[in-house]
This record gives sequence, C-alpha cells and structure tokens, in this order.
Amino acid sequence: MSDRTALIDGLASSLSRVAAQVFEDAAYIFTEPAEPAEGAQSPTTTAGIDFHGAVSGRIVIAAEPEFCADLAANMLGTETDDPEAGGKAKSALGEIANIIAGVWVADVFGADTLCTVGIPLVEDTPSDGLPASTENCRRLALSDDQGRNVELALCVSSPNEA
Amino acid sequence: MSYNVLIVDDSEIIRSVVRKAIVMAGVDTGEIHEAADGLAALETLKGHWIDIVFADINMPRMTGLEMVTQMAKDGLTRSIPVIIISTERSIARIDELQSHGIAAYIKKPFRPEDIRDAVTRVLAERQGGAGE
Repeated sequence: MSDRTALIDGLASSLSRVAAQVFEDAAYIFTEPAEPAEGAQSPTTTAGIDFHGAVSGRIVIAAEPEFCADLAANMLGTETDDPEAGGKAKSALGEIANIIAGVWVADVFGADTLCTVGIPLVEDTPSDGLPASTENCRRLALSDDQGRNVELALCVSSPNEA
Repeated sequence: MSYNVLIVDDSEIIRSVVRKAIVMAGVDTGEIHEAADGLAALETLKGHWIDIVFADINMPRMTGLEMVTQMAKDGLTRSIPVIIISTERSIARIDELQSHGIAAYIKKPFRPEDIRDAVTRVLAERQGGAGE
C-alpha cells in the first residue's frame, strides 16, 4: 500500500468515526458503518463542503429526503411531521456536513493547525450525487437503526502536501 | 428584565435550534432577531436594541470574526456581549476571537445546557460589571 493510499484510507476511517459521533451528538441518530451503495438511483439530497489546510479536498454527504426530515426533526426536538422540520430538512443536512467537517479537520490535523472549512452547498440530485471511488476519493456509508443509509465521499486533492 | 437577542448564522436550522435553546434555558427574552450573516447582523444592530448576540464564524458575505471587529469599532455596539457558536476548533482562531473580546465560545454540536450556562455566566458578568 502506498503512503498516499494509506493517508487517504486513514482520513476516511476518521471521517466515518467522526460522522457517526456527530449524528449521535447533534441529532440523536445512532449509526453503524455500512457498505456504500455507489450508483444508487434514488432521489437524494447532498451537502458538499470544501476544506483547505495541510491536506485539501471535499466532503460530500448524501441522504434521502425522508432521512433529512427526520434529521431536522431530531435537531429541532420536534416530530417528523412538524412542518418546521420538513421545511428545514435540507438545512439540517448542510449543518450536519458543516459540523462533521469542522470536527473532522480538528481530529485529523489537530487544533494547532489552521484549516479552513468552506460553506456547505446543499442540493437535490436524482441519484446518489456523490463522486465515485477513485485513487483520491473514498466512499463510506453509515446505516441508522432503521436501516437507512447515509452515504459519504471524501475526495482529497493534495494528499502529497500532508 | 428581559433581554433582546440576535442570532447570527447562515444555517436556518441552527438559528431555530439556538432560539429554542435560549427559551429552554429560561432566559427572560424580549425580542429575538435573526440574521444570516455578519453584514445583516450589523444592519439589525443599527435598528434595534440588542442585549446579547449569538454568532457563527463561518458565514458568507461577512464572517463572525469580521462582525465582531466591526462591532468593536462602534461605540454603540462595542459593549454588547457576543457568544460565538461554531465548529471551529483551531486554537489560533479561538484565541483571535477572544482577543477581540468575545464573551464566550460554544463548540458545535452543542447541548441546550451549553447555551444556558454561557448565557447565565455572560449576563451575570454583565450585571456584575454594571454594578462596579
């Protein structure tokens, strides 16, 4: 295994752990690692966020709209059928992406290192909307207690600068 | 005494969560205003009496740090306590914010108790300072 592959695999492993913890802490959603469903063709909401530091890249999180509505309801402490939760479903996924990215960069680069996290871009896509696994991208997934997957992608653009 | 609050975050859901947490914390609130970035917050501060500001750092148009810097330059807003709520973990950036006189720093994800504890402490310090 090359140093670069090991680096990206390590970053992805950390992202999976941090994401699970953030879902639990911010929204009381308990998840476990799952098999990524690359190429899924169901409507999805995606939230992408860039990071720049010793290593730069992008994190993308995708989930089905119903999951995002539950996420919003849990963050707001209300019921899923509450209109407020439905109206803030996309905002909830964007904010979760923001928190995951912020916690993750501190986890992998340390609080002594300056790393900039961008502003999340949230959009609806007809398919899973995430980049495929490549040399510089890793696909991850978490599954909640209802068996619903949250898909994540970590793409690193400058791993050699780490 | 009731306190007028301004919540500044580009995330609509976080503005709602903070609003709920403030109410749950038992803070005696008057008006609660919201702004989606630092620039909009400064506009709100021009037109309304605000007692305490909750602000994110990473926002479009004007960041929380830029907003705090602008507030410090204005005699009317200089003394308003600002509680930062952010995902930022960088020690250097948090130190920079504290050097600009922020009243408290809360890391996301936060619990309602974090809001309550920060507000209680900030308002107690403010009342203590007013009595000196």
